[in-house]
Amino acid sequence: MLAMGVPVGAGTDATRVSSYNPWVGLYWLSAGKTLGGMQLYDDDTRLSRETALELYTKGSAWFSSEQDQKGMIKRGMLADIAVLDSNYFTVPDDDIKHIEAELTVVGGKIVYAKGAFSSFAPPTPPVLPDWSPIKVQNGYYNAKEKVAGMHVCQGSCDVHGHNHDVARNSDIAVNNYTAFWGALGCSCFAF
Amino acid sequence: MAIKDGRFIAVGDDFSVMQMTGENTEIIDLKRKCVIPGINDSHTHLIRGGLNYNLELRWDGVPSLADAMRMLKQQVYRTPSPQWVRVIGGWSLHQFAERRMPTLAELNEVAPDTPVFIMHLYDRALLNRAALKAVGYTKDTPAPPGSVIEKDANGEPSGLLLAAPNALILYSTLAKGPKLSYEHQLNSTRHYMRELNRFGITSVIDAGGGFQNYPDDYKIIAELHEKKELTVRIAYNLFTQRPKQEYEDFDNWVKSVKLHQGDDMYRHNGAGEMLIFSAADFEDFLQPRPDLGPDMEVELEKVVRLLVTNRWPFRLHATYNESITRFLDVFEKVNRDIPFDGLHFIIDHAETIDQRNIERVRKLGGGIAIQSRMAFQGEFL
Repeated sequence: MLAMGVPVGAGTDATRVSSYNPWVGLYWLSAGKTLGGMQLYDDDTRLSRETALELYTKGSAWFSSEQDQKGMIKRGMLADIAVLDSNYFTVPDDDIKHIEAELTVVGGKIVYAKGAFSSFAPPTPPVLPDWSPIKVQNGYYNAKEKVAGMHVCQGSCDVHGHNHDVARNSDIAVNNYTAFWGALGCSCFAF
Repeated sequence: MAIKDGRFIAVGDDFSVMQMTGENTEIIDLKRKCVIPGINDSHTHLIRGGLNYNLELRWDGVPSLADAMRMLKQQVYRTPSPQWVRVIGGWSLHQFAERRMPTLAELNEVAPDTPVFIMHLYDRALLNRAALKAVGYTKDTPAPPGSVIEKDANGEPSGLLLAAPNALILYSTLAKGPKLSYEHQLNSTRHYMRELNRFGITSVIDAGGGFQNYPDDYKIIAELHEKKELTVRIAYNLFTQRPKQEYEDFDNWVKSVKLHQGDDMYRHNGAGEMLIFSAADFEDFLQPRPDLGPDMEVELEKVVRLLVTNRWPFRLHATYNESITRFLDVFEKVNRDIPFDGLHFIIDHAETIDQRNIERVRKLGGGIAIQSRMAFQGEFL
């Protein structure tokens, strides 16, 4: 499509098949893999990280006929930016899926801030109703925060956090609740 | 970068940008972090997602079924009657270390009394016994064409609903659940936008959706826009809700809705992704590819003529190359009578499009919107 010069925009089709998390899509386009770790595309058909991001920014703008308004950090364009919590262009492939914004700006206005920029965070209303899952689970699973809290395992492990692909491709009984998902949450310390 | 009145007024090195500062300028040091243009999701369903966000438990990104079931159990405990616990998309079994979904028996064990509705991709829904009771499905309930209500040995519904490949049964069953109140929908939409901001999203194009009626189901988003509470820019396409009366819907909209009405935060963007129901090729990759019916071309041509005549950009849900070939036949035919002449149209999804059809899209001046759906189900190909 790109070689033939067709406008291409990227997206998710969220929320009923794909998640709304665009970093899953950027990982899929650039690493060429599914969330399950299967290699879908080879070096000829996966995109560079730059091109993948371009589809999600400048590329998408064509699809609302706003290609002159947004999609680039350029004088005269709408001031929409995201400041990321890690460097998209240099992190290992698998870490692309875990990128989040630390500061998000729409039309020059800060709409989201955390971490180094948390003092700029706009106030958010309490979640309603009181029993909403969002009140305790808070949307997309945050592997970085959960590691310390829920499980005994630490370190390089990605679930709790151990390396899924290692687990899946090994003979270890990940399907066996009592053997693998033992009393301590998981047996990933074995890796 | 320097920003004024919502736009970049300078981008460059510190020295040249700092020249732009005045007495009231707020200066923020981005600490040499990676900065990108805001992300724009060119095919999503923010408006519908926002109405439901606070109702749904999310398994998005959860690494194991064990974690997912713990979250489910906790939410069952927190959910008052007659509310449901629902997990609606955003996950697939392949993301779990165990590589499987929960069983119906596991759902019944975790939630003996609270209705639980779990939807996996566009292929199935799992309902526990309490949810089956809540929706009123019995041994006599017929499944709509292209779908299955699985029965157990006694002929009673087991709790498994299958799209085969029509996903309508999944959505129509889901629609029987309690909704949020208007006030809570306002709150839910704000939290959903904030969640999108969390990942750096600043713009989306909303592709409409089933059970998302214009203008009734747009009141929430319009009110938030009016109160200047939108934190994501939204361009929205209008999606027909009435099989066999699609032309009437669009004929009414081209007269009552001004093309691109709104502003750069909330803006109309034409028609689609549903233009006519007979063109919907359901994307259930566990089922054979559906063949569209013989009436499709006649119905599509009528709607596309109307849209091109009124210079309305349009988008069309189109998963398979075989469907795309037939859609492009119609577009080319209309183009011979009424030239598209630079009018933007969008082929949406296009998972199996071939080179020949890509070239036809290019010649007509169209674009292709791709989504990360294969990241969730590439294993099924």
